[in-house]
Amino acid sequence: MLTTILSSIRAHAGRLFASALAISLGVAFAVGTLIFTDTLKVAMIQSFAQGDQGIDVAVLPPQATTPNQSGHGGGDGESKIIHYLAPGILTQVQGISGVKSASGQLIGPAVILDKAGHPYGGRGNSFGVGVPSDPSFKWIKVLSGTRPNTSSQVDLDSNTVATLGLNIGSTITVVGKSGLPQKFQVVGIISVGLTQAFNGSSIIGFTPSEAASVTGQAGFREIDVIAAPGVDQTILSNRIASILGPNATVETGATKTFNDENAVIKRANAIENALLTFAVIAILVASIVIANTFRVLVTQRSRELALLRCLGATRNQVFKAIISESFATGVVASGIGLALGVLVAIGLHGIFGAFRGGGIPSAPIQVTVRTFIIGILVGVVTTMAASVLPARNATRVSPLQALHHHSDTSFGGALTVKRLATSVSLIAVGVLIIVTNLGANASLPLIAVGGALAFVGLLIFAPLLVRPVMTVLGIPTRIFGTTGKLATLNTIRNPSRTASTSAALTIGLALISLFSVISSSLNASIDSTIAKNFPFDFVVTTALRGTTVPSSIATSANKTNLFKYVNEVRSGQAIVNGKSQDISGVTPVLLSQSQLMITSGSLANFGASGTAVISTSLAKNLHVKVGEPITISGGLSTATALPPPSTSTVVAISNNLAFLSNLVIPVTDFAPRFPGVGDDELFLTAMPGVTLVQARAQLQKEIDPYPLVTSQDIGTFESNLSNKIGQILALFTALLALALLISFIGIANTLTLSVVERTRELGLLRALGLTRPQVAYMLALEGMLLAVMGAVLGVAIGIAASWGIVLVLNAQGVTVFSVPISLLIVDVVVAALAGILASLIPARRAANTAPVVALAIEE
Amino acid sequence: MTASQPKIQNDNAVATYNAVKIYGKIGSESAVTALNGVSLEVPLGQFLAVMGPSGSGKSTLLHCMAGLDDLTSGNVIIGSTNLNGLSDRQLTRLRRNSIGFMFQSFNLLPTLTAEQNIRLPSDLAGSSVDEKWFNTLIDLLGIGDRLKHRPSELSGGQQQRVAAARALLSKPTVVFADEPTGNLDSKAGALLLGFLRSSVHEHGQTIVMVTHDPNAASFADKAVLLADGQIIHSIESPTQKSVLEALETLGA
Ligand SMILES: Nc1ncnc2c1ncn2[C@@H]1O[C@H](COP(=O)(O)OP(=O)(O)OP(=O)(O)O)[C@@H](O)[C@H]1O
Ligand SMILES: [Mg+2]
Repeated sequence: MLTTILSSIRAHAGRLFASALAISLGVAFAVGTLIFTDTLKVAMIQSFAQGDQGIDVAVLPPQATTPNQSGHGGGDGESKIIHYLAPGILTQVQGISGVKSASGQLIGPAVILDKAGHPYGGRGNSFGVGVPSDPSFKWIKVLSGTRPNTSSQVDLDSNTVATLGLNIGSTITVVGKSGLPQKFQVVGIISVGLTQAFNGSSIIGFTPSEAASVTGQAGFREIDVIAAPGVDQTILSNRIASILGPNATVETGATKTFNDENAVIKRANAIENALLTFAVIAILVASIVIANTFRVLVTQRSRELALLRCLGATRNQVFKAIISESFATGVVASGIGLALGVLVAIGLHGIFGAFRGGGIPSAPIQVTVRTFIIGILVGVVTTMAASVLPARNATRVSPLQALHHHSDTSFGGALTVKRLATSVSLIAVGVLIIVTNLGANASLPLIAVGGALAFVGLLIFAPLLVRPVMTVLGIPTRIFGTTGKLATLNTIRNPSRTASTSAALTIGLALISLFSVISSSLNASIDSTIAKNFPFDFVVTTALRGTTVPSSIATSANKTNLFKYVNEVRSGQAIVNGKSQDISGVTPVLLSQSQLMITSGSLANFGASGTAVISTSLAKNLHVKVGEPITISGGLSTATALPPPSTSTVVAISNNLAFLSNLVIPVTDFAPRFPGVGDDELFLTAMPGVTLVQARAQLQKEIDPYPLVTSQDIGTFESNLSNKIGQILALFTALLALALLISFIGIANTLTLSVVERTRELGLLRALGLTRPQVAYMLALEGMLLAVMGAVLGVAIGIAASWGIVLVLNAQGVTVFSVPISLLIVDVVVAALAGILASLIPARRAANTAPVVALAIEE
Repeated sequence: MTASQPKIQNDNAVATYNAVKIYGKIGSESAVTALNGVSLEVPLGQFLAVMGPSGSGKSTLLHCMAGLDDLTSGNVIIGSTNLNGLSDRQLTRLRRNSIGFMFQSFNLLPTLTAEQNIRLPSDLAGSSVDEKWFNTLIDLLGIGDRLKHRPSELSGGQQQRVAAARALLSKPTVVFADEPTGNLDSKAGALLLGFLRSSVHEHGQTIVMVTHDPNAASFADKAVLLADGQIIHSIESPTQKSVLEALETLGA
């Protein structure tokens, strides 16, 4: 029996090649993801290990927010708020017995200006740090040169030095919290062991005191302690913990290292899971391709299988033969996939690097035994699972079929009640699962299950669509005359095969158009939110996260009398009714101009000191209604004491506060609690009678001294937000590219198989006078029709699904359903071209069919 | 029909009693009665030719006797086994052990060499091959130098001789052949038929062969004539002349 299988695999190796390639690519994606994230983990752990090296005790900010030590500040490149240790704690730690030395890690916003005077690196991708004078604290290592000694000296990370073409001795311009440029001299090159390493951030190292003054960051992210000789880590750690009490979290160096590694692994795992989702999609598409291939092969070989049955092969033997064939295919394909996986890992490194706007740390490529086993298992199991149904079909081939002349290869596609019922109920159940899970506590796996069910339902239904869809799609191909007509008929002759070939593409296009429509709807919603809520001419923002627009700009803009409105938006974190809460301070008129959805109360009452507007969700959380008081305490810790707790009265509750925090108070109430905090944004409207050109010029003059501050017309501001969404869409598309590639391999595969199957027919057509180019055109049109059918169905599904999602997200502010029609048309056209491309090899083969040879084939 | 099983006839290789085969739904307009009460006994060691005009039911009879298709009513007995009510598994085992097949075309698996094709049934059954018999067969058929070739590299006559070797290798109770010479010229046909006859007379093989060709029928021990699903005539030791005469009376 083995000889039979092997000889058959050898003979069909060509036919299996394409589907094996599909599986290889799917496996390569999975393997590449694992290699990439494993490598990332190693690189990040190395980066952390540098920081934790030689540290006996680490003092960290307390886990829970306590009003006295917390302050608002950015500087981490993360959107979540990081708390800091007050400077006093470092002095306190240094005084504890058993502490040989202690040093605080100071990190805050600072950025280099390039030669053109623009901030280098993206928003949130540049930091200022304090370089400890004591080299035993290794979170900053000096690679060459010296540590900064005076306030005018700085060190830079090697990446920044290289990209900006700097050297030791170069003079650079740096902007920090103040927003004003300052000159420094580069004295050394450093490497920094930090979480931010992932961002490929630019790092500027100052003396500790200069770092505090440039970045405006007084607190520490971490205080590192080296024990006096003979003092035990654990004992010292316990001693420090008991002295600092609830003001800090204290860990031994060993624990810190362990926790850091876990944090890195957790973070890398999150990336891994996201990527694996795309790998699963690619594998799903590949499994459709492989199932299709096996089905076609079984059909093509039905006479052969029937002859085997005549000669005494049992059904079991036939089943085993097909399954063994798929096993062998799976093993070979996974092997190739493993090798390709390394390339995918390098590609992912590139894609992520580009997306994060800087390099990401690299380490030697990590191929673990786990990756190896998972890769092989995924490939083999998928291939075998995909061939189970075709193998079962093969056992149904009756011995009599060997005796009949070419049996009718088409099956499926008939409208049966059972088929319709199965399909409709699967779609219904799938959609139901999705809809019930979309709400606030969305469960992604369940949504995926629902999506898969609905998709299988559609797949069962799809063959019924082939005839009507192809008849319509075939109309334009009539310009090719008979060739076009033949191509259309060829796609209809086996509806099941056509449906499952295009289904592979449908998956990819459904997801792409889903993302496109949702992002387009997001954009449209943002546009309409901005247009409706912020009817202004200019927006002023800052280019460095963690810094704000100096409040003096608003003050002097008001004095020019060129602006009707100068509306400020500030943000910070305070304690509201005992709970930590993001809070916005705004110029009161901003709210009354905006059409915020007010559910109770009135904005007319907002503006006086002690008034507040909150969101419905916060109202629910705090159990407060309009007219009831809330207590605000905390704020930005400064050298002086915090302002005492104050009481504000809720005057209005809004369903949708746009991009403001859940709690909004007048800027005049905000300022005393957050001294020195500038504006996140300024929204300005020119006075009637003042031209935009005039106003813009004046505004430019105001912001000129501050290189980080930029002014944009509101339209530009909108399109910048859209760009960000566009970038995410591009990333999704890049990650789906492999799945798309696989589905086009599927189309090429089906065409090749059908050319093999139709050799006689093609020979006959050639004998009857079809020219070689006409044969090639026919195949190209078939490829195009297959691709367009898959693409059109995918786009339709994508639009329907995103319509549902937009409906559900309405409460979250996605109020506009916008279909990017031209983009989707481009998608379909690209798919059509790719379909033609996929037909090239089979078309060549078909065109080369000699009439004589084709007719001579023994049937 | 299983209720009235006739007594087992041990000296018959294959026998059928009152065989009726109706295609399509019985009673419907499209129903075709392909066999209409055929009874036929083929003793061990007989070379039987089945003849008749196109559409008379020859292939149907052969398929049903070989257990490839079900009878609508009636019985088929191969050796001592009544085919009625056998499961697919039992039928498969029977085909493996007791039946050899030759067809007009598509006899060989294109991916296997001639030798692999010949040994295929024993490979499938996992049984051992009588190597002496194997050598005798390929000698008699003159295909010794073609064993490593694939079917596409063989002539039609050679392919059919490989199929004959395959059918006879396991010394089955009966070999069924449906127009084995249909695609061959008269010389290649005569070569094959001569071999089939000698396998019957010298080695005691039983063969049931469907043919259109009176010359082919003349190699057989007996010929039966089928018309409209019924046996209407039977000729012992047929010659080309006697068969032609019988066919002509049928046509008249
Ligand atoms: N699968 C089928 N379904 C319906 N009718 C069938 C089927 N197979 C055969 N028939 C009909 O049964 C009758 C007998 O057919 P059969 O193939 O046995 O004829 P035959 O004697 O072998 O003819 P030929 O010499 O042309 O091969 C014919 O009328 C044929 O149309
Ligand atoms: Mg026939």
